[in-house]
Amino acid sequence: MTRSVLNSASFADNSVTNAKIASNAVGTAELIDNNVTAAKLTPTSVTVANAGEILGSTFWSWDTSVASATNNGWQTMAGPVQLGSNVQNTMNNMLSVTFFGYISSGSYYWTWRIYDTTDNNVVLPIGASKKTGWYGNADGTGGGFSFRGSVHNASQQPAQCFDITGRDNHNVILQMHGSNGGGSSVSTSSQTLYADQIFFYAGFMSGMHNETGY
Amino acid sequence: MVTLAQYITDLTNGCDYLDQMVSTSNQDQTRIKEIIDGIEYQLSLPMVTESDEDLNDFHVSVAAGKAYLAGLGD
Repeated sequence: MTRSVLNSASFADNSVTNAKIASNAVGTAELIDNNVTAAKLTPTSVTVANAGEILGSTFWSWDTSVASATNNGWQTMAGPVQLGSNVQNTMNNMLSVTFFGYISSGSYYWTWRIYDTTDNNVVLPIGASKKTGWYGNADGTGGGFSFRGSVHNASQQPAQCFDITGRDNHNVILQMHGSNGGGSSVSTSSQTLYADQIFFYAGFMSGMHNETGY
Repeated sequence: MVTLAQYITDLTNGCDYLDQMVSTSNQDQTRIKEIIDGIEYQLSLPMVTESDEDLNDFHVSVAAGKAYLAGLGD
């Protein structure tokens, strides 16, 4: 059986010339009329659903969320956000999050975390055991980030990167909770929690971001 | 969605907490300043400043807290 192989030798002997390409191979008319149609592009190429999963892009954003801490437990501030069907390929197994947050004036401080409502566990940051500001268990049963900046004024939280390995199609949410003075454990308070300009990024992002997420 | 009523509730509770710190002679200057900063932050929000609410009691509480804080620094 003979197989046709297209290799560098094939090109070297003038089999593909500019003239051939220009005149016959792929013409404007062919593109417009037959080859590339909207129907062909939409299902497989770039859709609204997967455009946000391009590595490094803003995956999801949300403005102005408020929750009363008088309700005991972790308060949902944003989400649920459904991760893509292949987070390894589209997000390198990483989700980065930054937002502005504070708790109204009173006796308590605040803390935050990303929670997986599909698996019902805490999404751990990359390098949780040595992560500055992270406290809690390494098995996803607890933990969170201590607030940064002014506790009772809207303060931007540095972008934190989370390990989402194996969480294909899972729903995740941003949660906040009243806390002790250091922001390293949860406490029930009667104050109000605020989150604003919440950004989820596909992949790894670090540092501080302005109000448009850059 | 944040409402004006939510901010007024926060300011009421925050000022009550600040008043309590002053009346009990709390010595934690850092904490008192955090509380004052938080109240002033919410008092400065457009939804609050542009409202018809009487904000005088809140300003009185903040002024008293600042005066107390200044005294602690002596």
